[in-house]
Amino acid sequence: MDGEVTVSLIVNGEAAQIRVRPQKTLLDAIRLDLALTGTKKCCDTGDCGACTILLDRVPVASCLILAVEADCHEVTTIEGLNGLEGGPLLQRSFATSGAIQCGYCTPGMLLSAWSLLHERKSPTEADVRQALAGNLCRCTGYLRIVDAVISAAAALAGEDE
Amino acid sequence: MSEYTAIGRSIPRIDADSKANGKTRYAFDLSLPNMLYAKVVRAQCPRARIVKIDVSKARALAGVRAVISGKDFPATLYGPFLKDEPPLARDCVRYYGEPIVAVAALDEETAAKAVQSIAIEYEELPSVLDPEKALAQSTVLVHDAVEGYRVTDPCIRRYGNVCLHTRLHRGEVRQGFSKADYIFEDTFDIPMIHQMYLEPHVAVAEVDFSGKVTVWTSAQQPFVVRSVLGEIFDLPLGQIRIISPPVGGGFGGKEEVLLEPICVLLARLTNRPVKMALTLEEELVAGTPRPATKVFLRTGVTRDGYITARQARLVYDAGAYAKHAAGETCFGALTIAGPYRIPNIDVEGLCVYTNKVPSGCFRGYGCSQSTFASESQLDLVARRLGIDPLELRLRNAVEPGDCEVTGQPMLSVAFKETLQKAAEVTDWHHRERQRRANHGFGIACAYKGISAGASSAVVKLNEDGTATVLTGVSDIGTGTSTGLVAIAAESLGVDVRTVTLVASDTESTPYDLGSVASRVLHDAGNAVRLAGSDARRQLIALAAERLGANPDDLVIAGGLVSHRARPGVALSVSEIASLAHVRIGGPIVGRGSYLAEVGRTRNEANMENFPLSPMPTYGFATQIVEVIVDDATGQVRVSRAVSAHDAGRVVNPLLVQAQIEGGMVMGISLALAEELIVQDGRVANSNLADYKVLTAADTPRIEAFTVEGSDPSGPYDAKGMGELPVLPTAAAIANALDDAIGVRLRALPMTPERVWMGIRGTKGEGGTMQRNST
Repeated sequence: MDGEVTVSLIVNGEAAQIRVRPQKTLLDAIRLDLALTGTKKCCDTGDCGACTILLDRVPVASCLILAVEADCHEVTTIEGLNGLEGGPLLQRSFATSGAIQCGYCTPGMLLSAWSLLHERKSPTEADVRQALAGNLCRCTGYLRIVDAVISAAAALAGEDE
Repeated sequence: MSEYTAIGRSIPRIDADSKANGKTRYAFDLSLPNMLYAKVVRAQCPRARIVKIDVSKARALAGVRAVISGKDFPATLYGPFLKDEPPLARDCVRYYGEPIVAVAALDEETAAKAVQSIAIEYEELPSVLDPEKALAQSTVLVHDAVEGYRVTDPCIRRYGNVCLHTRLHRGEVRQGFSKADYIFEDTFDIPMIHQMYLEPHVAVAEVDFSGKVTVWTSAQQPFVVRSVLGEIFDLPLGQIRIISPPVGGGFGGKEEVLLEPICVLLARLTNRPVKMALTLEEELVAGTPRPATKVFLRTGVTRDGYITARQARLVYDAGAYAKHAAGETCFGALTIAGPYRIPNIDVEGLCVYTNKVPSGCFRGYGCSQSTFASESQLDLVARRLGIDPLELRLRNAVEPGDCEVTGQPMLSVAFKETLQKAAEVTDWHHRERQRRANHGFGIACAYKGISAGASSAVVKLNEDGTATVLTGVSDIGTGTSTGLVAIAAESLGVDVRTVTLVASDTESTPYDLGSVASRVLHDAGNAVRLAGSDARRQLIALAAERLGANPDDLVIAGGLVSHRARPGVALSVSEIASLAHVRIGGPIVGRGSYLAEVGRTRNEANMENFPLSPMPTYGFATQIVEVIVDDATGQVRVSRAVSAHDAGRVVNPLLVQAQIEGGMVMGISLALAEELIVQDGRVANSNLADYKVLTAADTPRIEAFTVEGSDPSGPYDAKGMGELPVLPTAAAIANALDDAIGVRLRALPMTPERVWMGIRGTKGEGGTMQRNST
């Protein structure tokens, strides 16, 4: 189509090239062009956190970034979290501790949580609550999500020893 | 030790790993080859006659494939109580945001461009936004002739701007008030709020060559969507297939039919699949929020704190169409009594049209509003009479065998146990020892009817002995699918890991009313249990034939059918399941259907124009909160939150705890932050920066408890748990706020601004207590 540009990315460890119109958000490019629908769309204004991904390992709201801005960068979506260090353990912790209900916030929550654990090995409850304050959840009341992150941190610390 | 193997165990959700890996496909994620995207033009004024619609520019736009307006639909109106709503506005608009024209285009961007190019000429008309004004005057009628609308129950009383007017009464309130030492009068205001599920409304429709319609939709009641589409398009139900993939949250907000008819008509006209999703702004402007409600409450009590009489008037603001606000009104009127013995009661419930966004249903179905009023006033009574608020509740609490005003007996009641549990956990009676500055303690309770309508299920045994459950109910996040699998495994006598579930496809699963009214575990659970037991009977019969044994001597446990008395005489479930295919030519298929037995004791004389059935069972809850108030800013922080529940026998402790925690945090958010603000008929805070929802950083840990309970009407004595945890929270916080700083708020939410005004100004306006002089 006219006006499309090529964007080159590393997506979940693999090189990808897509052709997008310059106004397309990274969120729409991930969901529509890369067909990775694990990244969720809700508010589209950066307020709910459902579309959180990692851009060069830093959590961002993919609805606030244009796909072209991600050119030559590394994108990690929920589909790639199990390839990151500590990812599978964090995912299991969510699944077994009741941190998931409808699951629509879960991908964004997990990526925000992974990023916290990447930076801080043994976060306090307050640290976790602050780190997840940009991710809304309407089902769980957050408690089991917070506890899942803390117990994953403890398990990861155990693995390191 | 429990006699059960699957019931009572904290089994993690069956879909948890899929969701943790981003693999679960929601309706929002669906994309079909050749699919078009739809968007709608919405009304820019609250009430107007549509003079002219000019779609010429939209039609000329490259990529636009169809443009439709209200007149392209059959004239059928629809709605769950009153049939008053068209899929797109015809001739007139009744609220700001009402959809008027729909466009289907190759992509969302083109559809949005087309929508912007459409010019609509209005003749603006005077509107009515305040329900009290709508009640008082008949010059502005939101609907010209409400009496002429078709209704789902002929008893629905409607006139002027009133779309439903019901009355429930028992005893003689005048006599009751004459026995009171004190009479309390209070008025409460509960705002419109949005359910704020994270997956917005979305639907994808496809029409095949024969005209058969398939719709994937994020809906709580796929079978209701099917019947509404059948009604609108005059199609046999076999020609319509509705599939609800896992739903990204519902909370009552996905019980109404919004997008499906539009997608179906566009798909028909274009011969292509059509997808439509609401933006979050559209959700907030034109979703189906909880109706704003005003509750007037007059209660007579003796000096010992016994309630002698109650009079109540509840006005639910329906907005432009009756939708489920009509049903909310009925249940609000029913539950304004609270879980208390009130010998004399007279309640009026009015559902009133205004030119605002039509409200629908929210978790609790009208009871979050009635509970806030009733539980706030009880606290005022306790405070004024100098009786401990917990003690006051114990004195009036319902007991097993007590009847609701409808005449329906409440058989399974462990209400007092929830009060005692919450008191014990918080050391309630010694709370003064813990008191700090600006620190308050609050208690509130709630009850909620469980069950509604029909459920059916099929359990089929595959050749290898694994089982597949077919249920028509969608899991909207609560974990009901996991509960149903446990019930199937228990009733069959097999390992829970060998059972899978197919849900919510109107073509391949049997009828179920859907995921509403805390009913799934109870109603669908009963159906699954019956289906599992049916399959189990067949398994045993076949095994008995093969083993030459009497069926009564055979038991199933651990995937083995064995003889009670003869060791070694046994067949595995998989052997019998396989045998069925050669012996009877097909699988063992168990069937179950469930409909609650209610209404036999219904007291018609007490119920005027009440179009709903009583419920077979009730859940009960007590919550205690502590708050810390910043008296400089008015900020209220909940520092402790305890919730104790009568959930019958708990099928899955992990999931029940999670329901309680999530519900109470939602209750805290509603109490302190949430309100859809309408200015000049338009929702003014239509984004998440202005419509504040509390986050992990703003909310406390919830301490969730269940008391030993048992409900003979439920599967394995279980009750539903979906709605109750959200109901008492706002009143508990309001009561704690009063306890902390002496400010009584009768309006929600308790924002810093409102609290600050309360501190500075009039403390406790909006209510009176009088010594009874009659």
